[in-house]
Amino acid sequence: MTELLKGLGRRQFLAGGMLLPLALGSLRASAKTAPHVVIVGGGFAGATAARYLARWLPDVHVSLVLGRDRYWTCPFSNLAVIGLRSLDSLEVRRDQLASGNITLVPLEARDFDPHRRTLRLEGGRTLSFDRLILAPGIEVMPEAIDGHGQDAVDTFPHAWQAGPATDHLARRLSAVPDGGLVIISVPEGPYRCPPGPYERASLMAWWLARHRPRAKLIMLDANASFTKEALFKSHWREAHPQRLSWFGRNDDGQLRRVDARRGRVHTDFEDYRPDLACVIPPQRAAAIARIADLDGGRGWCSVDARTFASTVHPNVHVIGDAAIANPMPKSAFAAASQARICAAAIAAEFSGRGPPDALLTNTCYSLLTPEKAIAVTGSYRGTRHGIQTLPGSGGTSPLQAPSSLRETEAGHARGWYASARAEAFGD
Amino acid sequence: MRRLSTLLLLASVSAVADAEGPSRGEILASACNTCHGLDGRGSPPLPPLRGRNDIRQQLQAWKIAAEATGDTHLMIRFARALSDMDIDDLASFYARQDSP
Ligand SMILES: Cc1cc2nc3c(=O)[nH]c(=O)nc-3n(C[C@H](O)[C@H](O)[C@H](O)COP(=O)(O)OP(=O)(O)OC[C@H]3O[C@@H](n4cnc5c(N)ncnc54)[C@H](O)[C@@H]3O)c2cc1C
Ligand code: HEC
Repeated sequence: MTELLKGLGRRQFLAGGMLLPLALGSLRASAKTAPHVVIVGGGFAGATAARYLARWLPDVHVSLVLGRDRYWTCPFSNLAVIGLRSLDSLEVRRDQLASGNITLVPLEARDFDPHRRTLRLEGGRTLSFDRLILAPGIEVMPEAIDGHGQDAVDTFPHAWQAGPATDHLARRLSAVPDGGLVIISVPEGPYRCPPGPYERASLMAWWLARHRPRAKLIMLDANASFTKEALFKSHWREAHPQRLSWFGRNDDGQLRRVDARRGRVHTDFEDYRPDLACVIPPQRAAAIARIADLDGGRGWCSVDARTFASTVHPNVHVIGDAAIANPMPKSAFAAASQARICAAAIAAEFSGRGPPDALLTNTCYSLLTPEKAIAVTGSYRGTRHGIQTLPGSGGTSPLQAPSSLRETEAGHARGWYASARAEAFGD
Repeated sequence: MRRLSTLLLLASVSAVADAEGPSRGEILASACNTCHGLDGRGSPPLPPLRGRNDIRQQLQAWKIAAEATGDTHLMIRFARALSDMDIDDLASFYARQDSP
């Protein structure tokens, strides 16, 4: 009996007590019978989840809560920083996400009650849900750095959430004089897009080499090592031996303090006077994912890797950057992979099937120059014990490779971007 | 009691009606299509996969390939993560689709 009721999987319907009067034929059509899934955040994770849920659970109703902000993709935004891509080309128009069973809600989510299963929106309206998927991405914390704060972000631009800030950073870069100094500081992990700072450094160095040949770039890194390190470093040694220096955590690379008034940055032993300091702040899950103790005070949300259901509130799922999914990195690729597994798991449950095999994948392409790229890849399985890397699946582009392979992989990166963007947003 | 058995009947019929859903192959293929284009239609220069009959052969060959170098280093690593059942399900899913 309970098994069958679970198979029916429509609590709203049962709670409504409307079962008996309805003919079977109207079961699917009736709004009362359709599970209502509310998704907060219309980035790579949320948009991908919405589209696969609509496809895999045809009678679902999805409310996709987008907030008021426009959306620009972070992937490929480092090219906009060096003026080789327009901000416009990174903007995603999300109107085409609306469909027969996806309703767009252009408001900010403020709060939710996991027990009553309601989400409160700005303005006070509430939505009830059978399942809530939180895909809100990150919040940056400049105030965690001594001397820094939200009001100093224009002084130390990070553009770690793409948009007008990306253009601002591009303008700041183009104002760096020849012979000037650029600094990029990297927070301790976990943060969004582990290879992102090193891709940015590579592209900025490429731009400086052409336009400010006497300028220097210093990376101050709170980490002792980083992803694709051998590949990045070998490229830097070859292309920018005098231009780009990297200092890690064991090499006085940790940023200790900034002086916003003078635009200076300080480590334990050095005081730098850069013309531009791109200070990437420490990060945590966006505010809505830290309500109701969903993050257990840790800043990121722990999930069941088979379904991406929160380990704290099982009818709330968390996907994308806000979730703890290591060894998967916080990438758009990983976010979409988690979104598909989460959608498949919810679809299976509401149709009375067992959970899907949680094969998860990631590939992070990074540009070394506008025309050359490297990749790191991994496949994983979500298990009851967490996310496990599948043997033999992890690795990077070869260290020794002809320039033609790097060019081929830059083409693959563009192919992935177009494909992942179409998959998530239909744009 | 009568009400209960009607309820059970409806519940089981509904579960059967819904049991179709996406196949195992379709869910696995979504992980490939994130690169190979919406519904496997290709995203240049990444080739289309739908409608192809050589997927099993190609993935099995990659799975046993020794060194992950060259243009397809990444596909060799993806293939290593797949079980024989995964490969069979993927291959039959793609073979059932129309070519783009
Ligand atoms: C410079 C840079 C380069 C990158 N390059 C790559 C790359 O090449 N490949 C790759 O895979 N990844 C890349 N990334 C990482 C990628 O951008 C993120 O991992 C990805 O965006 C995560 O997706 P998400 O959906 O979790 O979060 P987001 O994309 O940030 O989407 C979350 C959305 O939710 C909204 N939101 C938040 N709170 C609320 C609320 N309360 N109500 C309503 N809406 C809300 C936000 O406004 C946002 O629109 C890069 C990142 C950076 C910074
Ligand atoms: C990260 C992106 C990415 C993902 C994910 C991916 N592939 Fe590929 N695939 C590639 C690249 C790159 C190539 C090589 C293209 C080339 O050589 O030009 C390729 C080539 C192929 C080929 C050979 C096609 C041909 O015409 O020779 C097949 C078959 C293939 N992939 C199947 C798959 C399957 C099945 C999956 C899912 C398990 C998958 N791919 C996932 C990037 C990807």
